[in-house]
Amino acid sequence: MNPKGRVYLVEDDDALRKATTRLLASHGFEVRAFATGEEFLDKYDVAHSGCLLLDLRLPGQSGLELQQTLELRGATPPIVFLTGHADVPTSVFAMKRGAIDFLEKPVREEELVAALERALERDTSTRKEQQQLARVQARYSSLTAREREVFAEIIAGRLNKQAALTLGIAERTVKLHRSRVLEKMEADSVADLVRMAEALELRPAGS
Amino acid sequence: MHSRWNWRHSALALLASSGLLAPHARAQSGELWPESYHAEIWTIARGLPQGSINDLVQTEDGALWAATFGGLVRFDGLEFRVYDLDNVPEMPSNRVTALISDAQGGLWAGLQSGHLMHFRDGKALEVLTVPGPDAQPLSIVRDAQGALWVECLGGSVQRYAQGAWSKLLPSGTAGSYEGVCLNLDGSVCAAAGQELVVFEPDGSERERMRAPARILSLTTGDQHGPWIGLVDGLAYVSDAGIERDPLTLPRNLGIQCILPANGGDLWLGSQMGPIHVSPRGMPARPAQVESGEPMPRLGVRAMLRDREGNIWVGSDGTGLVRLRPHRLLAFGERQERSGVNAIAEDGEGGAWIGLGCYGLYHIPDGHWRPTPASPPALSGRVCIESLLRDSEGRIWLGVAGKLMRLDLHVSSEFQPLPFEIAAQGGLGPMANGRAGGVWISSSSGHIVHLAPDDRVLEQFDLPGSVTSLSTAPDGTLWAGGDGVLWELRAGAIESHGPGSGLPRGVLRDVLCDEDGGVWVASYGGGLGYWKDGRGATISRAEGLVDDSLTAIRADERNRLWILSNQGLMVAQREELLDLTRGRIRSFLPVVLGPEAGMPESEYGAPAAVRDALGRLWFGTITGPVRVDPAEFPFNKTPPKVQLESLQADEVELPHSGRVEIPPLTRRLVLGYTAFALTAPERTRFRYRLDGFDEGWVYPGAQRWVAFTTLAPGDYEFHVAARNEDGVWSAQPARLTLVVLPAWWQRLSVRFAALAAVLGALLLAHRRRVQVIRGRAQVLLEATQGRARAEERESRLREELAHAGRVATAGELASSLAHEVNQPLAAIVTNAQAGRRYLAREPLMREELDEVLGDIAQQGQRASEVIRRLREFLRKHEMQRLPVNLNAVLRDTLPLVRREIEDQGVRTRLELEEGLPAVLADPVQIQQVLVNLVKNACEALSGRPDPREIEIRSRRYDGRVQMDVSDNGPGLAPTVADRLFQPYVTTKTNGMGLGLAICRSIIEAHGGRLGASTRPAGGICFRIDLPVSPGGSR
Repeated sequence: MNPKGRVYLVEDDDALRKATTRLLASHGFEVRAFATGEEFLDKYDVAHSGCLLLDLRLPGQSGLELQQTLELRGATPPIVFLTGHADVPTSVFAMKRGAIDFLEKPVREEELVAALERALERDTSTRKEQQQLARVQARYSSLTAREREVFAEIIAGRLNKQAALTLGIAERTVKLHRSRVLEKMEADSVADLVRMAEALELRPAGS
Repeated sequence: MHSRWNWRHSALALLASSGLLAPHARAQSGELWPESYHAEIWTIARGLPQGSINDLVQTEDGALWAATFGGLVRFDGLEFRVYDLDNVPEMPSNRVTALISDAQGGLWAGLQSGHLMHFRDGKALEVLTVPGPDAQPLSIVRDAQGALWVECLGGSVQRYAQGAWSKLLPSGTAGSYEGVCLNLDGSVCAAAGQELVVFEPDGSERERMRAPARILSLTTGDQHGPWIGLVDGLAYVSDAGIERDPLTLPRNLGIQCILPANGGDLWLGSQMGPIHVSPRGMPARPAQVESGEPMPRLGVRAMLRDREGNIWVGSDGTGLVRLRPHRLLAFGERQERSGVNAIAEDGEGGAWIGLGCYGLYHIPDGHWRPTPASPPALSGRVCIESLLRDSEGRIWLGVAGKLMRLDLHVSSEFQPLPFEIAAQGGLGPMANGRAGGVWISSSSGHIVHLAPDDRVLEQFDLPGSVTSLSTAPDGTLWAGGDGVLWELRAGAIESHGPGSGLPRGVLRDVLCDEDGGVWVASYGGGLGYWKDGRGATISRAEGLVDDSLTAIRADERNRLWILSNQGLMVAQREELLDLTRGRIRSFLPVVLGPEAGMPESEYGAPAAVRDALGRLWFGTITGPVRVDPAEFPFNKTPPKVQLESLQADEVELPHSGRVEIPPLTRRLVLGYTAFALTAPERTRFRYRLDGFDEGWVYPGAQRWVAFTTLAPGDYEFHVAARNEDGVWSAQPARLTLVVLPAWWQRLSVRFAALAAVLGALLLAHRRRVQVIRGRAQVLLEATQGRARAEERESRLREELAHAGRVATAGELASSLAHEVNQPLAAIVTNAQAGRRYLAREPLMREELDEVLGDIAQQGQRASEVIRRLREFLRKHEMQRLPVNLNAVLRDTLPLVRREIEDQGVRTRLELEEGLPAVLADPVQIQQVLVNLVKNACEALSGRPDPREIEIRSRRYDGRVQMDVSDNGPGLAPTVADRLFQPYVTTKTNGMGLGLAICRSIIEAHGGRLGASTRPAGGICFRIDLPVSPGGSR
């Protein structure tokens, strides 16, 4: 069976960890199980897609603390929390910080599977966005300094003539740079370029 | 138009106050006090909605009300409460022009919109429309029958009685009525130009009188008629008609409002400010008003004298002003920076005042004698050191180390005396001895006792300088020094100091009590009392406002007057004695501070004296101060206290009568205030919640109290206020609170089923503990034989121990629920996995087998938790089995595992192997261990890392010891002594029985349970049990 995706399971209770691993494996997830948050952090591979199924109550670092640690590292996989007794403030807190779901033990099978699938989907889409961004970033870094200036003029909506005046170069040269920028950024249109600039959080010239 | 407002409204204020006049105490004493007042001003910056006040009235409840164009304003001396269109929807206008009390705690307010509003308890009861055009009320009078007479802008007086209006218009030449006033005989009068018109109560005209000039204002006067303010003076009504008062007033004063004060004197309000006058031939005396800030020029619109004797002025744009008569007579500085360093009475109600290096003065009759009384020898710059009047009326003066004496039988001059008492340095305090003799001290510690004929009777040398001296009725001389009290009796000297309970610091005054004790006033250490070889100290911790004391004097009413830098304290002698005996822990002295006219104290020898008329004189840095204890309390008006608000979890509830509090209310806040207008910042409160508090609680000046999580039931809240002179409200304010029972079942929904059962058990057993305690009492009393009593006692102890376990289990419920839930979750998950295995082809037989095995195992695990708990909760007779403490501990830890983990606590076990067995009941020992570990976890909650619990066991001299220690905050000293007493707890959710039960369990095992603070912080509990007789291996 083609694995559905990787689930990191952090659960300190041996019996429950074993049972959960078993159940998730039977659903086709690739399970990596750990007894503590520290162990998980040790083995967690940011580059690999996956989600985290996390017991709230853990010896050492608690589930919420682990969530925070991951956030600080800037490498948070989507998290589904598991807890013995859900108290509302904690769950609200966890959800606010981006948890996918907050499930109470014993959890219904369908609920668990659905939550994990959602988490993996989120991971995939996040990664995709990140990859796209990384590609755009790579292209942008290939631009020369002059080309970047022209880039900023384009996304500010300036005409070639205006840009030439501002940058102190010939209009003809601007035209040249402009086509180079579009080409290097693999952009089909100026609108495309503006979208990329937004993703890169670039500011148009003169603003 | 504007000037019309002024005088008309002023006149009304006087009417309002006329019913409140009471003869003032000082008028009876036959002596005029200096007219000295302290002024305080409230402006819009301090909460007034407008700076101009049209009228003032004090209602029956003691509240002061002001009429402004920004609404109706209530004042309790501290805060303004504004009633306007925002919070009184029925109110037709914010522009309030006139006020009159309704004699039932409410008032009538005249509004510029042409309405009268009847207002009480924060609500408009009724709004009347004054009929006709130009019917804006300018002033209101309420007569004895309750009829309202309203002076209107159009020049008419409109009378409202029995639901109907009638309009009175002046006949003859005068076009309009201006000003109305109530006469002592019940008639009402009004002014019309130069005429005074008197009406019958039914509104018909009785008579008309002509005044010497145009009338500006009217105020209730005597039986003949009103006081009349004229454009150019003051007039009154006599048998001969209206007579001009011979009072000399500033030209063109224009009396806008008149306020009768206490002893026939008057306050006149004008555009030139308030003036205090004595009419009918007595000269006008402007009041001395001192204020913390420069007094602005006040245009007076309204004046009021409250029932405490303060004068209130509603001004024309400058705000509200209180003129408070000073309670003490301060004579002020004779010369700049000349503090008083010695006082002696002159035997006739006056006093001799030593001003240090500025000379000696005499105040024989309430005024400084204009020239210094200094003897010629003092004409140079020499300094006075001490003063005394002896029993023969001679004045002794210590000056620059020399003695002088004034004996009026011999000479009218001070004569130098030939004694060499101070070999070097100066003279110290002097005291009258027995049989007419005098004790004289020097700063070097030399003390001489002179007989009336100047023979030397005794001499002593003390090891330090003497700062105070006093002779007891038995002839003992008491001398105060720096941190020491000397007792000189029959040629022997004994010294007492802080080691025997007396205060530290210089003893600046000694006062011999009639009971044989001695009071000492120390500078820095508070008040001391010495009797029968034992000392006691009363300081700020017990309620003094200051520990730096300078003088102490008794009055004839069993009160002590204690002078400090923070004011003059007045305390009941009995109360102070109770403090020294430890019968009470604290007290609340009355303090006469700067607001009463009391400046900072100054040390003198002596600094205080009681004169021939029983009045007390004190020395201060700005001259002498005299106070008459016979007048105290100066403010005899008990403050009225009022409940203002009730909030249950921030929801406003009604605050009168009987109020139901919703179930599960966490926090109840009651707000209250008192109307004591003289020194509201010195008002103190006490409250009692019957059903919760055992006695009064004293929250100080705080005007609210909060109760948290009151148990369901009926409570009655009482609150009373005390004015600045210690007079308590005659009637506390009351409120019945009914806290509705909580629906506990709702809570249980949040817990697992197990927790619910435990919760129920817990509740049942809490009650049971009480029943058992009660039963134990009865049983112990009823049982004759000691053996039977012991047997029952042991059974009771078992029951109590059991109840304690139930309670503990209840507190562990949430953790135990988790302990069960974990295997249940594993079972469910395994079953889900198993079903998926079943659905597969080919059947995964091996895996399935493993899953089922795990399910069975986890089922066992859950049932094990339950079994352990049941074992723990089982009620059984105390067993005595040889057990190993280490094994009991290992059985116990799973019960508290979650508690430990939740706190992120590290446990360190150091268990000695091969411990000998102890003869014990394992369940009960387990119970003790659970409690100790749980307590340790709680102590560590919220503490910084590392959080550690250390458990050690060892064998020690035929005994086995187990220590449970934590590195938490340790023991608060207040709890340490009572740690093992029942119902002592620092926890919010505990019963406070845990440790008491633990100790009783260990003691029943012939062992000991103790607690100690660890050197590194935290607590160590030690269980110490004897080794079982056959158990030592």
